[in-house]
Amino acid sequence: MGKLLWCEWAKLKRRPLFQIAALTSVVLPILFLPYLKSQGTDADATDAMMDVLRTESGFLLLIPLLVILASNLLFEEHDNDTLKNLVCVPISKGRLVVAKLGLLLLFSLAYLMVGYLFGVLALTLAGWKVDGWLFQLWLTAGTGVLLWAAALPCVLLAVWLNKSSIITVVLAFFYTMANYILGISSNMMMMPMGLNAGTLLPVPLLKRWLFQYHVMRPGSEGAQLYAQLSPYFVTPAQAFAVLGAEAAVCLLLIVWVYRRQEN
Amino acid sequence: MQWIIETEDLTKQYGAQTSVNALNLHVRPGRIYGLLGRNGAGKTTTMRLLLGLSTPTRGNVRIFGKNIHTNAKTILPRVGSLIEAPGFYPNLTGTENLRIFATLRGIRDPRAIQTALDLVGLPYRDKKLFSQYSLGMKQRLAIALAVMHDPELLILDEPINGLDPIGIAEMRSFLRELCDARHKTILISSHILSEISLLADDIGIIDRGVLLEEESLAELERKNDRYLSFTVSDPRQAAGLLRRSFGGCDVELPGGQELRLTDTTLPVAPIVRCLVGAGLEVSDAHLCEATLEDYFKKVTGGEGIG
Repeated sequence: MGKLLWCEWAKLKRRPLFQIAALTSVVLPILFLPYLKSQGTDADATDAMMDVLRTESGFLLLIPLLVILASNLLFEEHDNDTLKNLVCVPISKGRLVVAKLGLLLLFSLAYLMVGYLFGVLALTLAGWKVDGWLFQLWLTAGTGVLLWAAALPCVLLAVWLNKSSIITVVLAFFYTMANYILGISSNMMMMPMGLNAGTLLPVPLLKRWLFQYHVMRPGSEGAQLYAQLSPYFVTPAQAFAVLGAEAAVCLLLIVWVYRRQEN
Repeated sequence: MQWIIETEDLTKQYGAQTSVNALNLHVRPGRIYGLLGRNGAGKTTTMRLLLGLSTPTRGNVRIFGKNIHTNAKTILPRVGSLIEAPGFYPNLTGTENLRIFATLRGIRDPRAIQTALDLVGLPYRDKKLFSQYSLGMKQRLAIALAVMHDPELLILDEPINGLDPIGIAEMRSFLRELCDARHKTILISSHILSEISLLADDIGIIDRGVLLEEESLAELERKNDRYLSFTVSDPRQAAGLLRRSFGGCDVELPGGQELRLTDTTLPVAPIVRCLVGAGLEVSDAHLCEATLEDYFKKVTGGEGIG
């Protein structure tokens, strides 16, 4: 699998789509820079910057990017007619899919890590001390893994439809928007763990995990919401278990659909 | 091992259409087997089936004596292939493309890529991207990929496509050398008769998915029609004269001024003397031999080929 991963990485050379996608990791943190000075404390500033990175950058940019890049990676073998060469090595379609999605997992992690490093740098330059940097690092890395899992249902849809890149972009847009809107809906957030949309939809579940780590000033509007939502927060184990299981199912289905497609 | 490739009742159907029909193909070790057929005859489908790229509707493929579908992991590393158009990553150079496949194949020899590129006449570490390659260069790179891991068997689908005449001649001698000096077995498909006749040791003729004929080239040549042709002023008179003078030899009159003798061992000079002596005019006398194209037409019962 290591060789396959290396080869998938090597195939990205001179592909501007991936370079542009990587650059967007700092776009939203850059746009947030003017608001950094107005934060009250180190904890507020750190929380605000990391929130922009994990929820805005992650939910609004990374998820659609992962879908588009996944579609690009999975269909490139058909588009370039290289699948026959790989199958004759022999590389099974299943291993190929796992390698490509594994590369995307690394991309997702790297995307948020670059954003994290930029955030730390911006906070430091703005005169703030990064509050709990190690915990923030862990939260960001965890979010990177879970956002990758969150993108897989849409990747499955794109592979199943086997459509052009335009369709994939449209799919990614609607999937992202639907998830984001449901993620900010308090109705969706206030659901117990179980077989319901608040648990099974990736972004609402991620929100229920991440929201508990926000810094809240007592008496603020946010604090009231925090208090309302707190019974519905999920533990890291719950978030990773649910999204991990969903990712495993999606991965199996993506492999199954990809295998069924003719070379 | 008697056969490097052996198929048994190999059939591929796409819906109601049968692309390959009950094919029984036999490729001997250390030989070049030319699979000859028109465009759409089923050559590429056959090759895809041999490599396990498509699943047969019916029948078996055995390569190196083993079923390809249950032993792909052990068989495919011993096979080099080129199927249809060359497929590579357009954003990478030829060397970068080969490096990817060398890594996946676990090729340890660091010179393997350079050696393969040298063999097909492409530069090593050239900065030109695959997307900028000409059709001929793409084809060469595909051949380099097929031979890079030093396989025992090469399965090449129309390998001379896109090559210029010099390139075709180079490719022919390259494949011949692979077979003669390095004892590789090569299965090559083509719709170009002259190429197959110049290169192959054994020939399979495929038409509408059916393997009509499978013979060595020598055997096919032996089977080809040969006759002595004479153009004379009065073929009927000449026929009677020759039957009387040459022991009831078999004479055919295909029409016009032509007269044919099917026994090609008869001496031409005495025949001409005999005819001229009887007052007949002989304006042409020569040995006719049917070409592979004639044979192809006869076997397929139709038009010629490219």
